[in-house]
Amino acid sequence: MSIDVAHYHGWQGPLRSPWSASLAIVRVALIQVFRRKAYWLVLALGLTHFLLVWAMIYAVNQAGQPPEFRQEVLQRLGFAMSRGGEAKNGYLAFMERQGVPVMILLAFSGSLLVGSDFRSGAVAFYLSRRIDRRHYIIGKLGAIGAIVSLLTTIPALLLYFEYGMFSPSLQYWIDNWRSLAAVLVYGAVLAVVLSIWLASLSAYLQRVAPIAIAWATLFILPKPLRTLLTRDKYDYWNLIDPWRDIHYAGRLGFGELKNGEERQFALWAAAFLAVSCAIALAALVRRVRAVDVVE
Amino acid sequence: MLLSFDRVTKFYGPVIGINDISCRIGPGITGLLGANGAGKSTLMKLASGQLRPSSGSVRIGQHAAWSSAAKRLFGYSPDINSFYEELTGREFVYAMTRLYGYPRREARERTERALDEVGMSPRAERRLAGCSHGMRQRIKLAQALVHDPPVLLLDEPLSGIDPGGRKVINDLLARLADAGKTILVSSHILVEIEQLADTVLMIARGRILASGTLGQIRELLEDQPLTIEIVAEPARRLAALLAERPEVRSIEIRDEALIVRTAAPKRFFVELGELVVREGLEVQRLQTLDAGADAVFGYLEGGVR
Repeated sequence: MSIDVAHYHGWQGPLRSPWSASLAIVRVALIQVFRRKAYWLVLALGLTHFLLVWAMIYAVNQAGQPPEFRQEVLQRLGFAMSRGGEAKNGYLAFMERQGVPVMILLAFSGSLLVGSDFRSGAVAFYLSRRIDRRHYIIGKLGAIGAIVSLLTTIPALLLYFEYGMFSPSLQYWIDNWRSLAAVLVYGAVLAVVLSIWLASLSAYLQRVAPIAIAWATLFILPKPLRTLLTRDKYDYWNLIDPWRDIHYAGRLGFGELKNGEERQFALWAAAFLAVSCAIALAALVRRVRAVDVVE
Repeated sequence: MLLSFDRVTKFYGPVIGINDISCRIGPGITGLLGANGAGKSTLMKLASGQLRPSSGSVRIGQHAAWSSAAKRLFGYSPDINSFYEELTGREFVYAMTRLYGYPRREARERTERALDEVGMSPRAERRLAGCSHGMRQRIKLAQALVHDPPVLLLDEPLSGIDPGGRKVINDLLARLADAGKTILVSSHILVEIEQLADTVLMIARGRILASGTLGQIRELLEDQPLTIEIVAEPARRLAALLAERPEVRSIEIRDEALIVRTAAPKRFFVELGELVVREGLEVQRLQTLDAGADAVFGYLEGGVR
């Protein structure tokens, strides 16, 4: 029987780059997350917060409220004026608050997105194709990064867009381009750091409970430890708190850090994050390489 | 397209998984037989480029099995049962097709053809979590077929499949083999391979015990003990004559039949023929009872213990 009779035909057109496979991996991962109803509860939490801030911005800009009330609302949203007379970047404050649903979602989806590939051996589906480990890892990191961005950067950008809509011209967006850049930088730091850490942790721990416990420990335990160990706001022991490191490293550039001490600490935080990400990435690469090892 | 192993050894730390294996697997269906832990999956992973051998080489056509060029030449169905439970069968096969770099439309067409091929089109919208073991096997087979590879590597593709599904897959594999594809099917259930494969590779403790058709392997084993059922008239007279033969180990009379166990089957059959003619006996039925794959495999495996 010829191949034609078996209903197949050769593909004559060009095949896309193996890097396009990374997008297919992201797509599959997002479908997996959105198919789990339990995850919608966490997504709803993030969405509620977003809608609340959206409504507040709308109300503040539309209603003829007295300045004190307006200032109060802006303070609550993180947009209030600082003592130096400069407005804070409320979008970053919003993104930090979104960190709660992000961390919950990641704690429970690490196993689904990465751990199960190693636990069930499904990584073989990928590595037996014309993609290699780089494409697989980038695809998985992209998937986690997409989830982080979906709850942080994208809603923050929508809020920035909304705020600008109340300006009679493009003036708000032109005047506040630094806020936009800061959102993108902070979002990128969040997505890169969290995706690398979660993927590495999930590749080794694989099951939901150990991943969730380790993830929670990683972000919760350092806080009281830091309080015990440090006397100063910029003491180096503060670096053991990853959430604080992300807070400072994500604010590097675009005028978000106001004094030299803060900037110095932010540089150390960025270095600390870069080193820890490099270690986590090396561990992840090692784990993907070792899928064949008999355990 | 040839799949070739040339002096391949694979170590897992201090443990040897595959031990100096050399073989060439050509078009048609080749069964890879072995008990659990024999090295089947390691051999499959070496063939599918997921493992590099510690020494030796594995090639698909002219390409090293782990090269990107080789990965376009084979389809692989791993031996796993639980994967991507949230996806439907169609979504899963489509996603796997996209990994080959096909544009969206072509990937959709190939997905549909592959699902149709394995008889899963009507049920492809069902989530994998709700699919039976057999349905998942067919979905896995579909994802291995989507890019029309000349070589198919199927790790335990028939396990858990009902007889109807097994027939669909056996027929499909036979058609693909007729179309010139090289198909390597692993199994630890010998009857499955006996029905399906043209050639058999028997593996135990990381070494190939024998290769060829089951008949050829059987012929090679002249000294393997064999159990033969003979219905003859008069049965007791034949039993008495056979009892004098040195190659006969035991004789049992069961109903009308003699169950004879011999240590040298080839010599036994020659002498039985002469005996029957000389004594004027009437042989109504003569059949071997343990020439199936199980017996051959059991004998071979016993040899390496």
